[in-house]
Amino acid sequence: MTAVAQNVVLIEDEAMIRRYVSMALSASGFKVWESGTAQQGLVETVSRRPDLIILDLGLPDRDGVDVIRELRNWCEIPILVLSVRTEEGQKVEALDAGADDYLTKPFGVPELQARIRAVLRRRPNQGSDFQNDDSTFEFGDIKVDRAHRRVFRAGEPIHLTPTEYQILTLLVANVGRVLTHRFILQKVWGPDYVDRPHYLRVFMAGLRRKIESNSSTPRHLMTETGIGYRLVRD
Amino acid sequence: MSLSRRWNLQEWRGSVREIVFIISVIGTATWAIRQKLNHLLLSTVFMVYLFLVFLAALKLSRLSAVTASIACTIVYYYYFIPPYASFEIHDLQYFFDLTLMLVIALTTSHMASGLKTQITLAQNRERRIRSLFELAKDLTGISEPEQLIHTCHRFVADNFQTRYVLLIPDVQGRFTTPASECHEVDLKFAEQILHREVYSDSDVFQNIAGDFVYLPLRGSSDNQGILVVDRTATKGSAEQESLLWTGMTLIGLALERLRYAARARQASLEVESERLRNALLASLSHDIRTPVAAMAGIADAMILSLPPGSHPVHGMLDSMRQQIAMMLSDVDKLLDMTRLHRDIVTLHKEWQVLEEVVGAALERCRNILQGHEVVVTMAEDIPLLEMDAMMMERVFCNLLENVARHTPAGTQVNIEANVEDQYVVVHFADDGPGFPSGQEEAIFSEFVHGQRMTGTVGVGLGLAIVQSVVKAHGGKIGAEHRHQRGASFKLFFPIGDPPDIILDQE
Repeated sequence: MTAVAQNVVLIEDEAMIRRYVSMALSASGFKVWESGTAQQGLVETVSRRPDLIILDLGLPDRDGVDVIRELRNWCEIPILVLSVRTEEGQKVEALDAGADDYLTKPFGVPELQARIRAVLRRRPNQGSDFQNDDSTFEFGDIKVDRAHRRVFRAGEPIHLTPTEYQILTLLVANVGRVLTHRFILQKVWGPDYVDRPHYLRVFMAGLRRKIESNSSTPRHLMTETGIGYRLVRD
Repeated sequence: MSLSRRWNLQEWRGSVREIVFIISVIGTATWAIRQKLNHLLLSTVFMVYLFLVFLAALKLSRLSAVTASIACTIVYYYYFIPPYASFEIHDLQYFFDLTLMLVIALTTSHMASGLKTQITLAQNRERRIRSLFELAKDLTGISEPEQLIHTCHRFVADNFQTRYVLLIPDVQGRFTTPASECHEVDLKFAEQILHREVYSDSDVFQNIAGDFVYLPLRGSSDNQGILVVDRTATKGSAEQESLLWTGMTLIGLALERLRYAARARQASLEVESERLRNALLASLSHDIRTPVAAMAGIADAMILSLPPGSHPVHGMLDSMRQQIAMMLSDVDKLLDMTRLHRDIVTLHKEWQVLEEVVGAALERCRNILQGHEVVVTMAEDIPLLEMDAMMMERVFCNLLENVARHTPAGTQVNIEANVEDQYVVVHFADDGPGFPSGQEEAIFSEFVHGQRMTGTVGVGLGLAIVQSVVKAHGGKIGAEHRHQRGASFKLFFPIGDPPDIILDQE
């Protein structure tokens, strides 16, 4: 990625998880600063100025979502949260509070690396390779031409409704990153619609039928059950 | 018979003694008047005799009273009416006196005996009420069947002086009283009585077999037991019958109360052990989950630290990773089932697009289904369904995992969804070996395994979870073994009242 080793602050109370995450991160060339409590983690963050924070939501001393809110008061450092399977509500809360992405335990190292890459890439000041400013964006056999508001599939233009197009461009702008239902509803329909996720689901189903080769086994417009959607490029 | 004869003899002796006594009293009185009080007026003398007759009638038997009145008349006329010392009667007046004397004797005697009967009845009534009161008081305090048997024994012994057997049925409604206690008692007959419907109060004493009458002990809803008593116990007296019947109702209700109390104790015990079991499962799941998750991660990290290219250790680590993933999924199922059992799962129902839910499950199971072909066919007109997407995703995952575990690679899985009546039906079928026929119900039980096709062992909770979740959504699930064509599951989800969606203007 970059020649200079990037700093990661890892805030996780379970020693075994901490050990293997830091093993995997070191293997990928990161410099890891571990801490077992939120308090210590915040201190590390202030002193190390990391490029990424990995934060477990189930910390003994403080509520993880609270920690995110505090961090977001003064910094824009990407935050990747770790969470257990049964806490969908907490994950959504964390994402809405400003976390960049999440991983559900247990996760594999490839998954972890992919998430970290995506999170680091999309930060504008990280020297990203993201084509945010380009007018075209391609994934699979789909090409989105934002300058002309057109979408092509294998070179053939396809017709999207205005709402479908808005959803797609929103996902494209955040490629690789999970977007909560609430976030998309607010951006596309406005604040009155944040409690009507079924709108999003119906439009998403329509979009999948047009974009995916098989709408019941999507490869790009991925569902994050209970949380939201994620556009996967490859 | 011998008993009643002896009783008559005693009565007879008593009467003779009374007559001798009253005659001697009259004699003494006559002697006293003639010797010491001969200046008394005739009318006063008559009054003295009348008083004696009255006393006799009041205190002694009717026979003695009549004897006394005759004796008094005779003595009165013999000694005090001229001509003295003779029975010569000149006047109708004397017959009238005799009649008066007799009438007074009989009337007083009748009234006195009526009073005595009233007293006896009142005393008996009081005894019965006291005995019922004692019984009721004793029954309120009891908490063990032994105490009830003891109380019942005292009640019968105090009031009826008879042989009896108290029969209390076991859980199956059968009597298991030791045979020695009731060799004459017809248990079969008693069971018939026990299971018979409610009686009117009058006909319970008609349940007679042999020397015994079988009386049901009524609870509020059904009979709680049978009291077998000698048929002569009540001597046909309505009061005794009513006493016995009321006492039995009290005993029946007490028995019922004991039974409910025992049942409640049992239920609370079961709840407690279930709670313990669940707590154990939950803590086990958590304690296993954390180190296993770490193991999976370490295996991953080790793969990464290997030099690039195909290293023999690579494959080993890879299969270790897979095994760990399988184990984790089993632990998750334990946790799911625990939560479902403890009803701590609150369903987060939202209106879902079925295709999306199925798609998410397929994505999650992509790794384990690599060797299988999945074909999804969704009807166009499937409405939004109100479901908890997380839970439903697990339902489909468990079904898919079942296929992965119990069918050989290359097996095709068909998922079809369409609308039938008021339901959206998801038909889940594979062309694998299926499950043994006759197991359509059993496969949904906890800890029941399928055939271990792939050599991997699950905890057997997958389908139990599927069923619980589908039921929690108001749906139903059926399994079918299709001969030579694999297993098939049909999930029915009720179509609710989906909200309207305003679509874009095209």
